[in-house]
Formats: sequence, structure tokens, C-alpha cells
Amino acid sequence: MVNATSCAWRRRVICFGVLGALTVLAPAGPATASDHQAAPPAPFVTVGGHRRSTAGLQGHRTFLWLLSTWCGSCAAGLKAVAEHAGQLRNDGLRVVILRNYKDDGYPGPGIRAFFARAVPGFRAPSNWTLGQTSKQLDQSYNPRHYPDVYFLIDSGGDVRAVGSAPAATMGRILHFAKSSN
Amino acid sequence: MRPIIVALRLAWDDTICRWSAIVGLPLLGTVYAAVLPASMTGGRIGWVSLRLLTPELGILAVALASLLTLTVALMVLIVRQGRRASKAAVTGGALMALVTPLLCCSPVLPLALGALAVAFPAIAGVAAGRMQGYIATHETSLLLVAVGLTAVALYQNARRVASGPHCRIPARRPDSQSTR
Repeated sequence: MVNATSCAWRRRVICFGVLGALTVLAPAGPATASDHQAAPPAPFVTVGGHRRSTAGLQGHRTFLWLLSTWCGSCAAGLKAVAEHAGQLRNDGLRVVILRNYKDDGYPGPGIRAFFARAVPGFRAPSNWTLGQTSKQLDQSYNPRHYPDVYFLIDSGGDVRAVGSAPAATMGRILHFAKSSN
Repeated sequence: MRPIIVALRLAWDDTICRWSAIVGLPLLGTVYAAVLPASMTGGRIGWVSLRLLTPELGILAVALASLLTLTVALMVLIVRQGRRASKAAVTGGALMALVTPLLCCSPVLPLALGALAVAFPAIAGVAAGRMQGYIATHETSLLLVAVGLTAVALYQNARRVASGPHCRIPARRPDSQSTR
């Protein structure tokens, strides 16, 4: 009887331990193993229907954000980024926001509708590019299918940092925007 | 409703139950207020999530913390009476409320499913996105279910308290009385 009870408790402790470890560790490291590596070239399509490549991002510091339009942290993050739009523009940071390929498998609104709902009345400044990722970009940058992941890419085309949830990590983005390269 | 009022009066008369409620309410209120907005911070909990607490989430945090505090106080009373408290509903409600915001937009689910996909390749790919999308778009409903479960737990435990401590006496057959 005592053994059965202690086994049940051991199982519960292990389950909660695994869940706790995932909860604590996962938000700290959503990286897709491309930290401090060259940003791989991959195509995407802008809301205007133009076909572009991440290879064309070289020459400017870039905040490349891949998001799913159903995700809560993405809506909160967009509000935070929009609030700092002027500052990011003055610092010369290019903002590229792309909807995940097939919205990560769950139907959500288009990127325009997402913007209208999350930041009503906001007009994307000229340093912003909105669009849709391709399957290739999804596989290169987000193979684990995180709903909310961003890449801070320097002017040489190297990924300097990978993060998620800009509402919680805005300081890091602003710091990168102010950096010299 | 009546058993709840009776049970809460009995719990308030007990010093340990009263103090567990007084200490538990602000503690659980803070925990829920920090955890519920975690869906907007990618699973980060603390001051960063507290800053993003909306009025709707604030109301849910207060409701969940109040119900859980009262339920725990009643469970303490039941245990002190030497009986078994009803735990399933309260555990389900508390876990659901704590896990929902953490699963919806953080890397927890993709990482967990990615680990499982090593053994079961069929669940690799977009399965995590589908689950996270469902949780994200039904988050309020899931939190309301958690409130409902905690309310059920409160009612179940209140009924036990209101029925009072009693011994289990085996029922006698009518014919056994006649032989006495």
C-alpha cells in the first residue's frame, strides 16, 4: 500500500518536473539553431504580391518576424512594435513581418486583417514589409513551427539573435536597433 | 448554494481554515494574475506578464483565485475532520487554468511534440500548430471551463462539509432487528 502510494507520488513528481522544466526552459530558448549564423536565403511574398528573398535583406539591420495570425503573443507583440515604430525607423531598422506558412496549420486571418484587428488605424511605415512566408523559408527559419519567432539580422546578413514575443522582449529589439552594425 | 454558505461559515469558525484563506487569496491571486497573461509573453511569467494583464484576464484571475482559495479552505476543514476531500475537479480546474496560457503561444508544445515525434513520426509537422491554434482561439472558453471546474470542486467539498463528520455504520436488515 505504502509502495503504491509512493510510486503514484513519484509519477506525479516526474510529470510535474518534466512540465516545469519545459515551461522554464522553453521560453528562454526558442532558437532554431541559426543564432550567429548567416541568414539563409529563402523566398517570401509581400502583401503587394511581389516575390522577394531574404538574401535581399543584406545591407540593413533587419527585424525579421515570423508569426501566426491566431497567436496571442503575436497580437500583443505587434502592438508593442507598432508603439515603437518611430524609434525603430529613426534607428534605421528594417521591419519584415511575415505570416507563417499556412498559418502553422491552423486557420487564421490574413496578415492585413490581423494588422487591422491588432493595431486598428496603424499604417505601416516605409521601413516595414509585410507578407507571407514560403514553405522553403518556413523550413529554413522555423522548422519546429513556433507560432511566434523573430530574428535580428545585422547588415552583413548574420543572425545576431533569435527570440519570441516582442511584447516581452522589446528592450532587446530596441537595443539591437541602436547597435552600430 | 445553501451547502456552500453553511460550509463557509463552518470553515470561517476554524482558525486554520480562516488563515489558509486569508493567506491563500492574495498568493493565488498574484499567481493567476502573472500566469494568465503568459499567452502574450510566449510563456514568460513575472513582472513582464503582470504588465500585460487585461481587465478580462484580471476578472478571471480574481474568480479563479477566490474559488480555489475557498475550495482549499474547505478541503483543509474536511481533512482536519479526518475525511477525504474531493480533489479531482479542483486539480483539473487549477491545472487547466495554469497550463492553457503556457501552451498556446510558447515553444513548450512544439518542443514537447518534437521530442515525441522521435518515437512517433506521425505527430511531427503541423500537429503542434493545430493544437496551439485551437488553444489560442479558444483560450477564454478554456479558462471559463477551468472556472466551472473549480466551482464544481467548491460545491462538492461544501456538500461534504455541510453533511458534517459522521461514522459509517453498516446497515442492518429489518429481520436481524427482530431476532434481537
